Amino acid sequence: MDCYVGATTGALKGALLKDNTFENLNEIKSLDPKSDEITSMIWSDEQQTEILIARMNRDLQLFDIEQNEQVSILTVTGGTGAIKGLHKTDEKILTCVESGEIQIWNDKSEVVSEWKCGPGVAIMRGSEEKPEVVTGGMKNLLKTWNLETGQQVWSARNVPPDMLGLEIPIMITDARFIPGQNTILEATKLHEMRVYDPRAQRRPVNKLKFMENPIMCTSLTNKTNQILAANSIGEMGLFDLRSKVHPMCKFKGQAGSIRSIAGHPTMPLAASVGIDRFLRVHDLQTRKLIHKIYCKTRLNRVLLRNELSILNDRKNAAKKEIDEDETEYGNMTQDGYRDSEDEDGDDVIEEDDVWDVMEPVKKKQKMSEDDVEIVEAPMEEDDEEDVPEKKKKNLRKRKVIQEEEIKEELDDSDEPDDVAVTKKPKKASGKKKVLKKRA
Amino acid sequence: MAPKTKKSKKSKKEESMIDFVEEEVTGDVDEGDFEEEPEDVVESSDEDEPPKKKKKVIKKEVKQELELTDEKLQELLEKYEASKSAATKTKDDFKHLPKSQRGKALKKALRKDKRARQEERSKIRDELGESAPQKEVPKTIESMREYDATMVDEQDDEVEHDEANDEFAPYFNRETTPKVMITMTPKAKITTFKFCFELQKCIPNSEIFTRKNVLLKTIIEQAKEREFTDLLVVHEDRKKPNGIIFCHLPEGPTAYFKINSLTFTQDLKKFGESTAHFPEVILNNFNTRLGHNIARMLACLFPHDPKFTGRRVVTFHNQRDYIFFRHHRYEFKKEGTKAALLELGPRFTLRLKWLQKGTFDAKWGEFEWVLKRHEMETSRRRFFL
Repeated sequence: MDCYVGATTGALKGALLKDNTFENLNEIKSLDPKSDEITSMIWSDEQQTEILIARMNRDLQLFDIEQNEQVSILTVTGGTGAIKGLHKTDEKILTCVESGEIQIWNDKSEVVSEWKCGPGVAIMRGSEEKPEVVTGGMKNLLKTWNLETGQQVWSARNVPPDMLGLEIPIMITDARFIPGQNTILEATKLHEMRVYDPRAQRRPVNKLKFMENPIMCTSLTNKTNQILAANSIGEMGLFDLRSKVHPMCKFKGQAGSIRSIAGHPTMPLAASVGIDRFLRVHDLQTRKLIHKIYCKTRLNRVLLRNELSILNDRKNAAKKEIDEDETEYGNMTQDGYRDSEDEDGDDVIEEDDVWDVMEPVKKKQKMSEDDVEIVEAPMEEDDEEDVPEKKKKNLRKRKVIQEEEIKEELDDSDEPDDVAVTKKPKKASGKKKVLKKRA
Repeated sequence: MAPKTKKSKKSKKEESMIDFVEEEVTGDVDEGDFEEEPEDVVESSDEDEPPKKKKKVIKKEVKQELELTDEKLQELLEKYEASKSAATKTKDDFKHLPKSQRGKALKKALRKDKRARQEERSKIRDELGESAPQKEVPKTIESMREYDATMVDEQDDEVEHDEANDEFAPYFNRETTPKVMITMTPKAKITTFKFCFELQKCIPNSEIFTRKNVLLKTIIEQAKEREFTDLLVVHEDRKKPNGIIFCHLPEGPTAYFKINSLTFTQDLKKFGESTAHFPEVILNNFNTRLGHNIARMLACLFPHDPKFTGRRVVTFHNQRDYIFFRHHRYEFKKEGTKAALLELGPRFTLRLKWLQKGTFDAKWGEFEWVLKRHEMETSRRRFFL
């Protein structure tokens, strides 16, 4: 299975992209969408062998991919509403419900610590680099929390009022840490994404507008500065976090609201699901729809595995390209954020890299010159060849003319002899007939 | 005979091209023969010989028909196939004409050619009788419809489970009885009111409210309190109804339809008076998953048990994504072999523009399906309902 999809009916589906098929991993008939709807789904470990699933009735389940087994771990208590976010850090599970209660559970399903982050939470997501989580929601500004102490580390400030002096409503739908940059990305229903830098200020450092409908979800991609976002009518765009104006491209094919996107960490691939009941996989480089699987129910969450069945063939070729791209401008952006010691270390390597790169370029230039020569040479030969062909044609014509003259003579004299003459050249036969008629 | 003919058909399809070429050649030869034969007849103008010859020939032919039916059959079938395949005229045949006339002439010739070939085929069919090959099904836009993965299979457990738990399930489980609120845009004009009254006539248990500048979201809240199950909002443009918002309560979904070609009852050539009986509902051609949803939604407008004594029918017929609404009374003629129809209600056509999850919230809501005109309508043979 390449893709794991959680549906609103509570079904967990595994999709095989190679065959364009999907399979239900649990029994459907016993499901009740009001209690079993999958609201949140994450990988439980880095090897991607287990999935942590949160259901509408706030049950947490662990799904083992290899054995296709589902085990209930715990039921979240306290607060109201569905589980809006899950995070896993070394044997501890973090949950956040809609009313704002964040709870940390240990492996014996006991609450280790608990705190509140305000009502109306729409999303909680953890960071891969530091022990922090980010929360946000309706009328609930973006905040980051320290996991060990449960203290608020940073909180955002709402953007300034609009030109009429009216307050801009806070409607956060998605938030996530951008790895390697120390920034936080926020998606809002006001068809705008905001990038915050907690070290610099509390207000956003960059705003990205996208179409005219609420942005429902975002995703990281294989490139550090690029993110994906999708809105409530099924428009998905690829953005560069450094630009301010336009999305880099828009992906076509979706008919309805997209609830979740999963970008592949190393390949230019992204899977998206929504309530139009389709799982779609796009290629971010060619910007084309590669796979489209009809999954029969409205879909809520998607997870993409690192090892995909479709990648085996072109893995090697594509990987090289990505590496080149990252060396081209990935380091440039990282330089600004890194410590001086790291920079020096990197520079040394980079210089070596540069020399490695430089030499083949010279070779290439030489090669190209050779190529030109080689190309030119056959061209000349062609010209030479062309000339004799023309000559040959002329010769043939001459021959034909001579033969015609002969035939005329023959026609006058004897008939049986000209049969023998016609057998030799084919072209002559047609003209011969003409001559006959004239005669 | 039957299996043999089938085989011959197959072989023909495989070798049709070769046969075609061969026949062309033989046809030329035949023409030559025909030209020659009459000359012979003229030359051999003796009294006794020709009739004998003719008789013999006829006898031979009869024998041939009896003996070599298979061969003749094949020959005819080959001819049939040949007449089906490409036209004989090409654009090169009209090079003598000025350029501006060539296209027209070619079209005309092709049309003539087509008719001629059709006649030829029909003749062959008559000759072949029972063993004639089956007529091909005409190619229409619908029959050549693009493949749609969401076509609902009747024995699909998952779709069944999904439908058993959707927003319309309470109606189909007979837990709710429909109660419909009809309203319109603020400051609606007379035709819109007229349309609303026509709708009320068709839908039993429905009430009309004037909008009075109330927000739609507050109307929905109030309708929920009064236990309405559906809300219809008629939109107008240039004093004529042009759209309809259809919101299922209390949980949604909401659909927006465009109204096309509206004819009021009074404008029909012949119409009858509607009665208060509960109508029967016919939902035609809603085959995809989205179509199923829309059909279920439309079915929810009407009460459960139709009164068959009223003989009233409301029809929603889907053709190429346009939903045709008709309202009739039927009457069985003698011995129930035929039925007569009397049209009762308005006529109009609906076209789905979007379907939104939840009750009406066009700004912040989530759309389940949106018609994106230039992105989705790239093929004439793609339909969504």
